[in-house]
Amino acid sequence: MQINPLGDDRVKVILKGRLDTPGVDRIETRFVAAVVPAGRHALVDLSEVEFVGSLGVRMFISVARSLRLKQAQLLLIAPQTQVHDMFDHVSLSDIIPICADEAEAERTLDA
Amino acid sequence: METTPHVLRFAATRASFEQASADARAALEACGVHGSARYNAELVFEEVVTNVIRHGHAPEIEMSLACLPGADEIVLTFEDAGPPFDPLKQPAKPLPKSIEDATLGGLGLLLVRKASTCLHYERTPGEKNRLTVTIATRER
Repeated sequence: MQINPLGDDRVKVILKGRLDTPGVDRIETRFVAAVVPAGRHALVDLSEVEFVGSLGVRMFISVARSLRLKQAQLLLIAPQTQVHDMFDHVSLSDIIPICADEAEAERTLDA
Repeated sequence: METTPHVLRFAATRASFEQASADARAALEACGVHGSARYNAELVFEEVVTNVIRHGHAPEIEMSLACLPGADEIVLTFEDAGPPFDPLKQPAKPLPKSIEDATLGGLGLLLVRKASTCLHYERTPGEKNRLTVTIATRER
């Protein structure tokens, strides 16, 4: 997991590998700690994530809700095709913005 | 593409999950399953197995993967000796329309349904739960 500040009010997080049960178990605590307490918008780059299951979706929903309480947003960037298809199955984009790239995510935040 | 069903047996514990998942992926690779069918099969494995583990009543899970050359589907079968549990009878949860409405669970069965073309549950004569999942290997 890589964390890059993007100015004062937002941070980019790059996740890699599999967000299956063991994958989420390995990163969830650090991911939440890196993103939620500061209350900044979180842009999560998924371009190098090859698999997401329901526990990964649950983690994103939980973080999005926590950030919402701090008037901040979680945005997901560049999911791979099959990951994006899975997000469509659960209509995730209805509740968390899914953007093609960082530029689109920035425009979404600044709109 | 191999014809002999691959059979995996593993303890129904979180500690065993990672190796079992890797073994399942190796079996899919050996069967030549790729692309969206591969993802769907991995998703089914993830959701079905974690559900059995979460309920904590079965000591072991047996999964078989059957794929036939030229067939446009693969069949995954999961068996466990836990108490009777038909996942197909669980009520479907509505998808949330806002982050405030979103609940943190209940997506696993939905994803299994979306990833498969056919689902069948039975309680076997040997008192096991058997879930059979068919996954298309060609785009429809």
